[in-house]
Amino acid sequence: MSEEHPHADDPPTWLTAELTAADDGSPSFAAACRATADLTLDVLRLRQAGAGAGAELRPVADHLQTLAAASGVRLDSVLRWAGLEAADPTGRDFAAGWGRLAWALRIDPAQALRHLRLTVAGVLGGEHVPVVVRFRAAAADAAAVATRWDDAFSGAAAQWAADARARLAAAEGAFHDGYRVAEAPEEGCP
Amino acid sequence: MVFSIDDLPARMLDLDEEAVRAFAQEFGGRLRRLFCSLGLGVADAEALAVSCVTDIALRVDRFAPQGPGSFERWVLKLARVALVDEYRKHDPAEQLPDWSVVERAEVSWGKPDSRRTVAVREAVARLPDLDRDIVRLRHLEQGLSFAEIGAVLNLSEGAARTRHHRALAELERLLSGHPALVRRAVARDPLTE
Repeated sequence: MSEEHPHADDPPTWLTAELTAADDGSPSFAAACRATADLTLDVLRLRQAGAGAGAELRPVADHLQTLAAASGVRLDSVLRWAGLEAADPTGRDFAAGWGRLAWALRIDPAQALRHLRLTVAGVLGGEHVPVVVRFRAAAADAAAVATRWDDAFSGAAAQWAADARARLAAAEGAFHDGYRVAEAPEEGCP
Repeated sequence: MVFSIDDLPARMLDLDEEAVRAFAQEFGGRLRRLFCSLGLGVADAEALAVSCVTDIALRVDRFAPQGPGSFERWVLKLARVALVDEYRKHDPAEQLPDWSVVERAEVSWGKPDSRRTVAVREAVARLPDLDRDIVRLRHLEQGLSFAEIGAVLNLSEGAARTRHHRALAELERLLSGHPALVRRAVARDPLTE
């Protein structure tokens, strides 16, 4: 049949351009636009909740649950958007997704990295997890306490098995990549 | 509620639900048209438009207003980045669309031209229902193959192909030289030639 009508599958470019320009999009596209508005609102609400929270150190999942409870947001669509829903929390995909989400939530990268380190430590660190994870710093001391925590974490992680240390390093690298890519789209401009 | 586009960023940052939804609706449609006009298939254009809406809305706190129209230009700049990334992801060697055509459109990018839209919609409306469905399934929604269209509409693959051919010929006859499309045809050349 296509031999009888050699151009039947290949309409003029101008015609398909006019058809798509005059069309408002499929019903599924309209639904996707509504869903993305909902997702945006959820992330903005979580961001607002985080801005009012103290510098508390928790694993990623606990931190997100805290923000969700404070903002009334259901996390499902946010986790799906960030790619965290089914990812191994010690893996690179999770770390990259957390980098993307942490930027969207305007979490300082150093603080977001601490959340990730606690997540990985909870799975791979065994008994070598800094005891200071449970504290909550007063705002005035936050920077100094965070620095002490970073030192304590580095000391503890140095005692992990080599494989666990390698996975932590890979996760940290993926986190930084995810955060950087989310932060600076202008780099993609030709 | 009707929003001025230049008011959207501040309202979105205030977590104004209507503003966020208005942004998604307005720019979702405009980005879709933009990406389609630059050569993406409908499904790819829609997916990229939705992704852009989220990513751009989440960085609206980075927008620095610089007078009327600056928000639309800022959105367009980020859309270009997203489009370039999309091309690089699929095939880094693929030639990028001619963006200068878009830049000449300034803040009107992606907006439907009402006269053209009416002309095209009237032409499509004159097709028999079945042919209209075929055109929609093939070009406007899912990019289905003729076998798939036949299955959806209870036709043979050959019948779907033939009706599609006739429908396009009829649309071409109705729209070629239509006064509402002539001005556009001149502006279209750099992309299609």
